[in-house]
Amino acid sequence: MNFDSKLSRRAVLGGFAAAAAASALPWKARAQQPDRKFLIVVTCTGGASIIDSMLAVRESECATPERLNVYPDNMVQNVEGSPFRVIDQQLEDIGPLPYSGPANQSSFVRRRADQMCVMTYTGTSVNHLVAEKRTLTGNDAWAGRTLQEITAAVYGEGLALPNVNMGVGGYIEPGIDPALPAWARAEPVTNALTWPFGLHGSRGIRNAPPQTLIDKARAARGQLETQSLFDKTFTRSELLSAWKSRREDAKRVESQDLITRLNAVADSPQNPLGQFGLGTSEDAALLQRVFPLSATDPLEAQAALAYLLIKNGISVTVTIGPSLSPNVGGQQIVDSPPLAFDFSHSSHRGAQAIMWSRLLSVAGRLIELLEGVEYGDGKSYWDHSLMYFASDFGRTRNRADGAREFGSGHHLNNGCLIVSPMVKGNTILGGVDPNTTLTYGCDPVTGAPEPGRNMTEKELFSGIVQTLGVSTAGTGLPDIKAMRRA
Amino acid sequence: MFPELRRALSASTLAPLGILTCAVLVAACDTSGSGGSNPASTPDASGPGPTGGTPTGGSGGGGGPVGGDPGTGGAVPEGRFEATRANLRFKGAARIREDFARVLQLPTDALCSELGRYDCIDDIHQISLGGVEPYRANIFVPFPGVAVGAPLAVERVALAACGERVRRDLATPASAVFFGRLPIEGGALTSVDAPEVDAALTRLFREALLREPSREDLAVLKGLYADTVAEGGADPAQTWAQLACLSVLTMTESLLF
Repeated sequence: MNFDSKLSRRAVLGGFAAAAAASALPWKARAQQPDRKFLIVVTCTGGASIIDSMLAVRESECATPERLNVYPDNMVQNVEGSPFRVIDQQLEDIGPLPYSGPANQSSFVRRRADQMCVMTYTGTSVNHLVAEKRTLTGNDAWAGRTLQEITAAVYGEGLALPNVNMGVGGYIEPGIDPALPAWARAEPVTNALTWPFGLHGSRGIRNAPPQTLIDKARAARGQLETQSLFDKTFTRSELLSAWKSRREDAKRVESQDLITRLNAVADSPQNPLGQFGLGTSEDAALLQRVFPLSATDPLEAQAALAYLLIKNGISVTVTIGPSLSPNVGGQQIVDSPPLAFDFSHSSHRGAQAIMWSRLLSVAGRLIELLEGVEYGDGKSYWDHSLMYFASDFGRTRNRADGAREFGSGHHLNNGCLIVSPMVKGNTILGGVDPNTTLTYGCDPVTGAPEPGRNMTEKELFSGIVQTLGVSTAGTGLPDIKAMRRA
Repeated sequence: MFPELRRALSASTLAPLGILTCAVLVAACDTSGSGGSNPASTPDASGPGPTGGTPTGGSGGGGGPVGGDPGTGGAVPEGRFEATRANLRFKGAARIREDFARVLQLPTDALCSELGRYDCIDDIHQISLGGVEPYRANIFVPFPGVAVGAPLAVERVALAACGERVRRDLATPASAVFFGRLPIEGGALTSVDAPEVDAALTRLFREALLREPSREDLAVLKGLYADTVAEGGADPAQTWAQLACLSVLTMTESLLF
């Protein structure tokens, strides 16, 4: 399936105007916005291989092409004016799974190369959950905080839900810094379509009393608790305090009408919002045009919610990504394989191709939406954003006898994609040895390639944090100047 | 110690969790039934269950005072029985589902559904309520801390479930659980001070919190009726019953253990 084929560029561009008009605020209001930065983490669940995308190696470049994961020369395209490579192909299956259609990387890379930075690195775990978390904490590089928690703590104070995480496994695990403010911790979301229904205490509940009475009942509850022996006994409980504090946060969520503003589900016989007194975001029609499969594709639904969270000033960091479940029956018998990138165990090239294509397509549309909404001072939300394609790890390189399809295991060595107007574009921090297909690092300040050097999770983490404008002085984190746009 | 609680414990079909909760409470704070707000001598609740208790204890159950507490029912200084460890837990999605179903005597699938289609706890608010989703989301352990959506999700479930309980009670008083004997005329209570009102609230407390309501507790919930009437809607008695149920079911005492 070609996701882009479902959505013409004209439709997307048409949507920009609608979004901009719908969200337009007076120029002065925009200009007074605080200088926030936004972090979007796209989780490459299961392990996205950088040598099956931007750092692909041609058979003619490798001394032992029949034994390593290198591609026929004519499959590996250069992107003009950039160091990146792409692999577009027509899939006839995903190993044992029925599937046919194009898998495309070039559309995204050609459009975004000048905002793309690929940083090579070598991780420290090939266990999914452990590696996923380390790719977000830099292996506990900064007090065990995740990138999202740092972003939320620095830029998200006062927002209703600064840090929303729709990831899975280790990508949704919180950091371990007890000093992190509670409001900077992630709000977990497992279903982007239905989660907004829980953002109000009573709206949408059939025959619910009016809000004034709900508030009276809450006040009565407060009195009961004040009198309660339980609360008196456990008055020192952190959980008790946290629960009551979260009630106050929840009131802020209610008062901002997020149950409506974050709801991209349209009123329909299947989802009779009107019957339950519920409404839909003013951007629902736009999002339906841009993410037409969101009703059946959780990744598209996540991207739609991510847009609403950022554009509406609710969050400064949003994490999206495929789960381990397959998508079936949407457009084809199988639309997306089970285990996401980790289906590479059965079908390396098919899984990598379809998953890269899916993620780049959805990410590209989300970026274009954010590009279409002004943040302030003539800059868009995207101008303030960084998108990090976080991967568990790389994949093993070996194949037998030049096989076109094969299974792969987990490998520490890899590289990751970072896209942002704030990064040094058209940049590969490091490189790949064509005879081993293993990546090597670079000088973290100049970016000069250094074969034999491996970049670490900590350096990757540091580069992202610094690109987001967060001071790392006194943390011991290295300066990864090479990642930042001058 | 807590003779009413002991009776409630023995009479209720408690989950082990409830027993543990109460045991911790009793051990941590043997107040001999006082605790700063002595339980009122309450009328019998309608339906099965323990009868109204006496206000003080100290001799009920054979257990001696804990931690040197005299257990005589005398005046207890405020804050005397603070738990120093205060190691509480949130019940989480599964326990809340089962507890609410037990308290309200409703099937779990009748508690709450979003848009009339999606089970509130299983389908929608599972993770917010501290549940797990191992198969699709690889979430094997409950999310630590309290999600912002958790208090709202609890309220949604409680509000819907309480509404259903009240609806059934008023529709079929003969099989009512809490509110079948409320003195209602024209949608309003004939008197909020009627013994049937106390009985309904007492039964609600016993089932939800495994204890008697204090006089102050009853006064708070009766005051809520005045607010409900002042709002001016139709059927204030039914609305109030739902709100009272919501207030009690979503107390920290109901949700944490």
